[in-house]
Amino acid sequence: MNRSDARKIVLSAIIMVSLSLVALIGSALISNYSRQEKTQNYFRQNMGHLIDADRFEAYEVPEAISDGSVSDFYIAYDMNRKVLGYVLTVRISTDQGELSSRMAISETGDRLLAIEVLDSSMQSLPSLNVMDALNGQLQGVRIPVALQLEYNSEELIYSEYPSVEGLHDGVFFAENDDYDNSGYKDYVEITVKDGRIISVNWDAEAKDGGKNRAQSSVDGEYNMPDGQQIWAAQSYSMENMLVKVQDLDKLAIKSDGYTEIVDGVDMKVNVFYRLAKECIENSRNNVIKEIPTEGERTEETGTEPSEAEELPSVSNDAEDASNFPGDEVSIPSDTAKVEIDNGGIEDGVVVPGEVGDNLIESVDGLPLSEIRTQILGVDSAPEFSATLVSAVNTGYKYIRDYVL
Amino acid sequence: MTLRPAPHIHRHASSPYIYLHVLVALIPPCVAAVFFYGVRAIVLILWSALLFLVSDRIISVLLYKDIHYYDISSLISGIMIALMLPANISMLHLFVGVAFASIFVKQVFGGAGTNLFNPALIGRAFIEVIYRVRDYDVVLPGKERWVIQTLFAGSSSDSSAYAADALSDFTEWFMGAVPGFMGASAVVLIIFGGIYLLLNGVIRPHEPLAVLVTFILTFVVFSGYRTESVGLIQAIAESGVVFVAVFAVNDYATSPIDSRFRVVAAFLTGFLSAVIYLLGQPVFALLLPVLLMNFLTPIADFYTRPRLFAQDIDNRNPKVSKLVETHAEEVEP
Repeated sequence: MNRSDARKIVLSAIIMVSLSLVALIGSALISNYSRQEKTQNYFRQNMGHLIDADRFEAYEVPEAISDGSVSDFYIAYDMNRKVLGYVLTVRISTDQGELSSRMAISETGDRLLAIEVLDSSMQSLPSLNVMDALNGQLQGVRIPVALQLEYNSEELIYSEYPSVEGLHDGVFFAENDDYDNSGYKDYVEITVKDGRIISVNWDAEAKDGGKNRAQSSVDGEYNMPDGQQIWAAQSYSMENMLVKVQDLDKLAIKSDGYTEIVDGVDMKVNVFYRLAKECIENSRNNVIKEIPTEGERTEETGTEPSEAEELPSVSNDAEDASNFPGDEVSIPSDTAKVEIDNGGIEDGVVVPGEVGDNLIESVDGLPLSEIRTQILGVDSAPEFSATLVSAVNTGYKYIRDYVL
Repeated sequence: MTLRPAPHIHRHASSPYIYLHVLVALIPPCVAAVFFYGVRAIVLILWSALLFLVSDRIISVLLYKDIHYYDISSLISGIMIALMLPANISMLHLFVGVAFASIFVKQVFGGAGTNLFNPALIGRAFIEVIYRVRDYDVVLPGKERWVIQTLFAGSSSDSSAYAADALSDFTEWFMGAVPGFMGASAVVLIIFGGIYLLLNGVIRPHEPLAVLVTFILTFVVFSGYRTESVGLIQAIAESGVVFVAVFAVNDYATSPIDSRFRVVAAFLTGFLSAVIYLLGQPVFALLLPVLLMNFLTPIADFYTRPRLFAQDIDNRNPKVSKLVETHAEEVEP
């Protein structure tokens, strides 16, 4: 091999490298476009029935934050690149087996748009009818969700303290007559079921129509004196304590408005006492007060509430309940699903252990006050219903904690 | 120097010159490997080639006391082994495969040109036998290409690598942009190399074409419902049959000397590749048929040994022998 041969070999090598690069880059450009289109078609085929989106973008789910339960996460966009919602695949493992489901959640993260079961190795795999029934109950509801039977479960309801006699079931509401100096008007909502107080919500709406006091305190805009927990945490403690002890008098609220027996509560709670008492009285008398919607609340000017707001002696029938203008609230026992608006207290504000470990605390690790909807579930498949509800709540938590 | 009677044929090409051409022909699949798998591909290819070179040299010095041993075919075998592996293979496994190929397949049989089997294919098969290449060794092309960390930890395992196959279009299959071998699937680029070898007279077109045509026909006939175009293209890329057709079937040392037998061997290679691929073993579809043909090569060579000029002329052609006899009678006084 002489010098010219060597030159020829080197030249050939350079030509081969150049040719290869041109071919590779060219094909990469061609296939990139078609791959994207193909991928979107594939996504639309698989997820289009859950949410009608133009494009889906996949995001990696780090295993560390989802414990492996959320395996896929997509953001769904419309034609104008506006976020329509999120699609997640959630795998829940129970003693009965595994359930893999895919769900679409609204862009606000608080409404389940649709859900489907992808794969299930549960021992008691229900029939298609059961799945359809559950899908029907879950579709479009506000999340997180709980099964009604979870409220009845002995392990969830703290029953050491007897309930107060003479309470009627329903959701009862009371609010302050006027805005206070800080520009908020307090209100309390109490949910009674089977004669027990199962949920209490204490919050205050802002005069200017802005964020509620709980939310403002979480966001750091409404501050408490040094050394005190934020307002949302203290109100949450009060709510939970009332659910625990059932009787307002056991909260030992002194004449100066303070209480000593609820840990972590250092602020005056006489407003809570007064409004909760009014709710309990309403429950005793079965007076269901119309709960103003958010819009109506902000329109009010803070004058004396008219008597017409009260609906005396409304019976507790489901038919009546479903006709309430504030249709977010209805009677749990007779409807397939019940949505409870608790004003959005953030989870994580209160450590459950602070108010007693035995308290009804959580459904799937979510405080009951955060539960927005109860569904009946399907009697013939209680395990399956519970697992599907868990899947929905897992999806909700993932979006709340890591997406929004 | 051995003196032989005429006729003498002289070609410009020497062994190192031919090996250099093959080395140039291997550039396109190497570029594909680096393009898709980045820094890992560079390191693996260099590691494999240099290891083969060093191993060959050490063994030849030890066994044959040949201190001047210098062989470009070692580089070729090393590169070929690397190109037939997925990008996440460990360097240790590559070391074992290369050492086995160099020592037991090549040097024990006498070194370059005297080996019975193709060392690269045996080396790759040995790696498959001692360490089954698992799903997580297969990485998605283009992922973490230039992350130096992947040299030590490998690319992160990717269960979606196989799911992505379903989305690959024929452009990607033809360019090798699919999970699998680093370079042995890059059909178009291997064909570049093949054309280069053809233009330089290193290989003939007969054998590669025979392999490909037989593979395609067999696949179409036997696959039945899988005759859709992407299926065939996928099979061609995934089985690495084009790599074999260009770089293995024409190997001077391990293919039959008789050109007719070489074509027959090529037909058989294509047929067996398709059958083994359809049985669901893409890696063995790449390796086994050629190794089987390597095994049959000495037998074929035995029956097609070239005869000395005019030897046993009577038996070869009756017309000629009659002519010879007549001529002999005429010559007699």
